[in-house]
Amino acid sequence: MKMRRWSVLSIALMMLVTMSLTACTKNENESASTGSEGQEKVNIVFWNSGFATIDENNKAKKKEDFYISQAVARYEKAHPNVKIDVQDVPSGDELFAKFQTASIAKNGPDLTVLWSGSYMLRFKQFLEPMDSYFSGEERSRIVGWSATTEDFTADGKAYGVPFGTDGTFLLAYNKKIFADAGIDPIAQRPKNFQEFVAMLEKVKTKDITPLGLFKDSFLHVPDYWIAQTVDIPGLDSLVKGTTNFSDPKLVNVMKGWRELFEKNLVIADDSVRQLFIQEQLGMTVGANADILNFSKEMGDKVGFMKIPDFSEDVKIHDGGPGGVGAAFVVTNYSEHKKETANFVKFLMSKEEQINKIKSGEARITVVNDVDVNEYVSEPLVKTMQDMANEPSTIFWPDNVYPAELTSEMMSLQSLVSSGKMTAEEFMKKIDQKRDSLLKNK
Amino acid sequence: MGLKQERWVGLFSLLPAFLLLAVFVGYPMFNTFFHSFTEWDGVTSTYVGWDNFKTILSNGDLPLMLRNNLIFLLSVPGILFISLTVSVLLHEEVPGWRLFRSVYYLPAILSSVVIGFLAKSMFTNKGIVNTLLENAGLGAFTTDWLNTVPTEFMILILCFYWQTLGQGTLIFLSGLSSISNELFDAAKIDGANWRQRLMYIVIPSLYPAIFYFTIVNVIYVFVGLFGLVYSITGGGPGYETTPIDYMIYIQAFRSGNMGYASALSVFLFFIVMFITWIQLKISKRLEQ
Repeated sequence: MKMRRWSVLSIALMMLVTMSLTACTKNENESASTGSEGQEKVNIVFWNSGFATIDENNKAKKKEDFYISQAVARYEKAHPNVKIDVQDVPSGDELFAKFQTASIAKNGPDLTVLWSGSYMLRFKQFLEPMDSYFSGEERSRIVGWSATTEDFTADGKAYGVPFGTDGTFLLAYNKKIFADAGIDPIAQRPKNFQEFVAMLEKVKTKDITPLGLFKDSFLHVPDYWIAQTVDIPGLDSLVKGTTNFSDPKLVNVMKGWRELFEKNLVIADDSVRQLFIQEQLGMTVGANADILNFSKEMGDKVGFMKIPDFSEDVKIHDGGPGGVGAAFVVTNYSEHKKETANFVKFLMSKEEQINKIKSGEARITVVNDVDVNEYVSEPLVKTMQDMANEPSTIFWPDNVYPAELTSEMMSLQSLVSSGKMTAEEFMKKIDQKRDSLLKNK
Repeated sequence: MGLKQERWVGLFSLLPAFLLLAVFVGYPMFNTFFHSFTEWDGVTSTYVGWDNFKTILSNGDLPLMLRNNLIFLLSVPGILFISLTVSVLLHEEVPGWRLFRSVYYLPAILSSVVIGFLAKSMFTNKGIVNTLLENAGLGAFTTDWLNTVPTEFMILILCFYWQTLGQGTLIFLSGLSSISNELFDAAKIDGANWRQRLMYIVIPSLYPAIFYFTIVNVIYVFVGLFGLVYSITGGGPGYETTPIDYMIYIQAFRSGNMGYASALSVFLFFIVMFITWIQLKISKRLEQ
């Protein structure tokens, strides 16, 4: 009798465990159900890493006051059967790891925003091609598709939809500090790296750190210098292995990168934005959002300039890195691909792009039927939009390199800046990594 | 109940636990072992035999990763000593023990990432450490703490110690409370001083706790420092502060080489197994 009781207990426990495990795997079909009016209810999960939902300067601002919440409310009102579940997620590496693991298990989102180019194409196997969802007309009003296509051409097979543009990455400088050092960086714009160093050295004489960079500013400065030296087709040759990173011209770029640190002209610190606003730095880097923020915080004290050319014989002069740095992506395991693509179309519509600009959360846009100047009085915005459209703005080189190559570059570049690896060794290592990637392809 | 019946009851009682272990530990382990012999992107895998292991041994990264793990490993006796000292001082109720007893466990409940970001903000170029040094007229000692290898290790180990001190102290305090007061009284009557009581009563009595603490932390420095490395140094500059567990993350989630990352995991598994086996051997010999 006792034995039977134990057996019953054991079987009950096993059933409980089995039921729990079954429950763990039973969430896939819950995103679609039939509503009371017989219309299928659609639940779209949007992992949001692109739209603001927190204002660092105004913590009292509620979530409903941000553009994305209002856009979702408008969409849900127009489509009563659709519910958009906006879940805030971090961007960059954290998002990639989360997206990768969730996608392998096929329980990731229907929609998210990933960094464009190679970063998002790494996950191509989980992404729904967008070509069939966007007509030629719809596609033509959005610029920057090349950042989302597998061959980086404007009309290639697109795995995402341009989300927004970073504009052109610029250098912001403190006018007062530069004036005290006797420099007008616009009138006396450095023509090459040596002149740039000379300018920074003058600022240093005022006991101010001349240039503040982020830990990952390799992507903003020397990587741009490499790109402007070889041009876009040259970047493609580097990736394909027909030319080498250890080309003496490119090695010189890395030597320059080392020189900036060796002469203590630079600090690499993720708090450079705050330090610049606190006037502890002469100069720093920034995308359009940073530039406008600096302008808001510092008023007339801040000036802007493009990153100086590395040398007079570069192939692209007076440009900067930038472009469409992020893209909407729809997962191919989503049960509501069409509805999700429709939501993306809604966000990219003329009306919504205008709403986004009016909300102040977007300054420049990737749609060509909206003129930002009609809605924003800030003259700096016009400058930013004009710069973004200039052909000298080079699409982020790291978005073109294979992800593994970028990872290797980012890991090793700090050895060059700290003098633990020579520029030649660094470039040789990058060539080796590139070759091994090509070999294993 | 007969012996046979009892055996069945025992087996059935353990079954749910075994089932859970098989699903949540056994399957991922088997999966990792299997994929260590493949080139795997998370969805499709191709069998490549021992290639991943050959690459680990030949690509030149292994000595650096092992060096980094060894540095962390060598830091374990330090935290053992500090925890032991603090617990003895608390047990002996030195002045201020009440306050310290109420706060010493606080760092242990913080996540590694919180501790890491806190340390990072303190040691940045313009962080509080450099600012304090400058204000104290010690500007010559300011340095780029987070871009110099020895100081980066120092910060990582400092955070590891800070985080582990509570756990160690708690373990040793509970061990100390089990030692009979009569033993201490007798030793005092016999004229044993503080050091002698520590060496001949406290440490031998705490031997199982010391052994447990050492094993747990040796394993921890191989598989648990990810959070600190991720939030403080990011494994850099270069791979200078990258231990094996952080390289697994880089390979799996930055480079997408899930097969290679699985092989590194298997490699790490055997390293930890080997070190734990050595510790068990030493422990048995000491017991004898």
